[in-house]
Amino acid sequence: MTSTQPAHLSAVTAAIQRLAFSADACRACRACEMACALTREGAVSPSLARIRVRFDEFAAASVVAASYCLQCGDAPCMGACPTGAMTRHPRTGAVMIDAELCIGCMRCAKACPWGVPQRHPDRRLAIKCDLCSDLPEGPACVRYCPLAGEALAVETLDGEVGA
Amino acid sequence: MSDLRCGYAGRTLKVDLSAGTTETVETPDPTRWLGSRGWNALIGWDHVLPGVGPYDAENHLVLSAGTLAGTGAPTAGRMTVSSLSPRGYPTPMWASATMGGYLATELKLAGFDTIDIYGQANTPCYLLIENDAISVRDARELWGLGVYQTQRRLKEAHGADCQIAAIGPAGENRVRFATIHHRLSNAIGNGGLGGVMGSKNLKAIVVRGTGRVRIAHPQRMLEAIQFVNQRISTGLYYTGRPEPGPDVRACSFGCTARCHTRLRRSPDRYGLGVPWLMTSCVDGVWMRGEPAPGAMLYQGRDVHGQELAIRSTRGFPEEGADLTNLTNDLGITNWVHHTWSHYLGALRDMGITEIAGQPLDIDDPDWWRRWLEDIAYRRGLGDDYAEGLSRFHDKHQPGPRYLADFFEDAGSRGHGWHREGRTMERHPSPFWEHSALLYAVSTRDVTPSTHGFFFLNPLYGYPEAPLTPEDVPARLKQIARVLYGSEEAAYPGTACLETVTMYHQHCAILKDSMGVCDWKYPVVALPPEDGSPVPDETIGNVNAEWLLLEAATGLEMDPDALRRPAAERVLNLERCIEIRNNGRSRPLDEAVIPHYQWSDKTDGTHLSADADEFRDLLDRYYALSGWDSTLGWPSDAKLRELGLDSAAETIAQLRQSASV
Repeated sequence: MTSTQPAHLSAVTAAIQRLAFSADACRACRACEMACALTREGAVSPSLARIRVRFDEFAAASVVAASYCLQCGDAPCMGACPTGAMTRHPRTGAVMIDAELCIGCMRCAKACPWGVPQRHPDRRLAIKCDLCSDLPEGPACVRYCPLAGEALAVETLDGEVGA
Repeated sequence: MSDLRCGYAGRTLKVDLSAGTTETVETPDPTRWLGSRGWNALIGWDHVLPGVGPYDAENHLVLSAGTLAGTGAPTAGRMTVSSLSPRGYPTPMWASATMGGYLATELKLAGFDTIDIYGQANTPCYLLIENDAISVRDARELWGLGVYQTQRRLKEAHGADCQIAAIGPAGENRVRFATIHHRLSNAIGNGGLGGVMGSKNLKAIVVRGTGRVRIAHPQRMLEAIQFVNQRISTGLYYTGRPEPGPDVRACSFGCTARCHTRLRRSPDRYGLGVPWLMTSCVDGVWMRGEPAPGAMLYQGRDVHGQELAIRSTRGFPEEGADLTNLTNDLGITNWVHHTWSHYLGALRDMGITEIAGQPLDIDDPDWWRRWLEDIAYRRGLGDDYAEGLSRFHDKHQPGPRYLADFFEDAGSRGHGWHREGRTMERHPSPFWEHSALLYAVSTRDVTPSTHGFFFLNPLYGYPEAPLTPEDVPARLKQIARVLYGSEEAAYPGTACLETVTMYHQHCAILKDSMGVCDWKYPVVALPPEDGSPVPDETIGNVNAEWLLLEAATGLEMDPDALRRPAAERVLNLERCIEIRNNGRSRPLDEAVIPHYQWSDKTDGTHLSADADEFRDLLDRYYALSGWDSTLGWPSDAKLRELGLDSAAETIAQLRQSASV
């Protein structure tokens, strides 16, 4: 942390963490999607998962790709949120969405360069990866990835990869 | 009610292509029918009546997602497709085949377990399922296209996220070994069910589901997934964690296991517009073979340690990738190269250089290209090839009477061309006897769902294949004791083999019904190689499916009941369909015998001339099954014990007619 850090990072006590995905190593089994949805929602559905893997075997390149929150340092989603529902987790630095405050306006998705936040299919709120920051064992997607550490891992924003 | 289901969707979609109507009904209870294969058999029994042919409008094509598909269960991305199969020989037979990919999961997300298709559309059509919005669409512009182009067109029309099963020209032209294809190389390859789909004028099935699969006990499910993941990574075959690499991809939704599927670049010589090739053990047959450096041949050594150099397929290292993709695109199973290459190669070795005036230029990849296209479009001699190897051989009789004889002269043993499965299994005893019994009582190449026992085979180590019970490795004896209840099951010979075969038949039905991969279930861990003793309970957890099923569905079942009586019920109902519709009985079961006989051999590597030992094994299998020894039909008591009262009444009437 430095004195020039944005105000919304002031509560973060550690380096910001995020998922690190390797398209070369990923087998596209989508176990990460299922583990995420099961852990966060108790059901299996890509629409409930905070990480999505696409395997397009007819594509000339980029056959495998993943969509997930990069937990940006400047986090434009947070700035766009009109209710203050988005905050940083103090341990992981992940951007969290407070379901009580979120009104589902999806301005966060519009502000995100990759349109990552998705509308919950049942409830009027946005969902995105928060690194399972409330779970001591870490992100479910990484734990259930058969190639954890290679296809999917946790890294800090400066690129240091952790298990 | 159905929206309260967990694990499975609870809904079956019925599609009448003649009337152009659809209907949704409740999916039968998995505690009684397990899942896809059981549901399909029930429809077969109830609706595919005697006298119906595979290409008749009254035949049903039934596609069901495994009960565990889309639940997060490891490897559970598979579906079962069943129908009256035109590939059955000498008559059509009720057959089921499975495939991985994303279609089963997508179907669940759309809210259905099963699609039951019957009737016949007047013009080419495709079925579009977008959650609850079901429609039958015009496919005249797709008719004639390969499976790759068909999928691309449909994805352009309905979005990249939809999942598609399609037939190629081979299915349209009712080739008896036509596939139903999905993605690059997932396919219903066995049973010729692509021809059934073609006979209904159904070019493709497009599914888009945006719903969810509810899980009864999410936390228990997560724990069960983790437990099974750990166990399958130390399982019998391809043990260890998946290999990372830019070419290693899972063939199926939810497959967390190590496997040998590979994505590789295709030179695309034939202009199919597909830059990739997904290979597995089957898809590689065009590339492997004698001319290919490092070719993977079928194993091994015989019981005397002698190398069994099989008559290699003619592999084409350069053109093989494109031939594989062309085979896929035409909607033909890639196994054809494995079987026909041996057959035509054997003929040529006998000095036969042409059939019906057509030269056998089998070393020329372009000859194979024309051969594939002639089959798919039924041009010239291709029309006869399209009938399948057994029927082709019957018509042209270019060599020995029995197809098996092509291989006996090479010193092999195996099931030859029985029901046009793979060419041979070069296994030591008791594995080849097990193979013979499995094939005797099945309706197709059965190995894809019963690898389990064969995966024990390498534990022997081929050069040291045992000749006596004392030579059997201790670790193999322990596995036999845990799985089959007796060490004798691993001894050379046929002791306890009826128990082994029935166990694996039940496992196969359970796996198929759950939608999990045959290569990983039942979950059995290896004892130490040095033979040091370990507790039986550490050999593995053969109830992995039960752990997952109970957590996903919340249904309470006795783990042992999944095999008996549930899988046994499905097996018996499938047998009853065969008896009622196709006159299945013991003489047809014994049709495998010539494929395993070699009268000159008296060293236990083949059946004797009179095959008494095999007939005795068949007697024991029937007795264990509760089937009579004369016809091989389930007894009235067995059917009623399984709750198959309708089948019991029908079989009783047939017995009366047969005066047995």
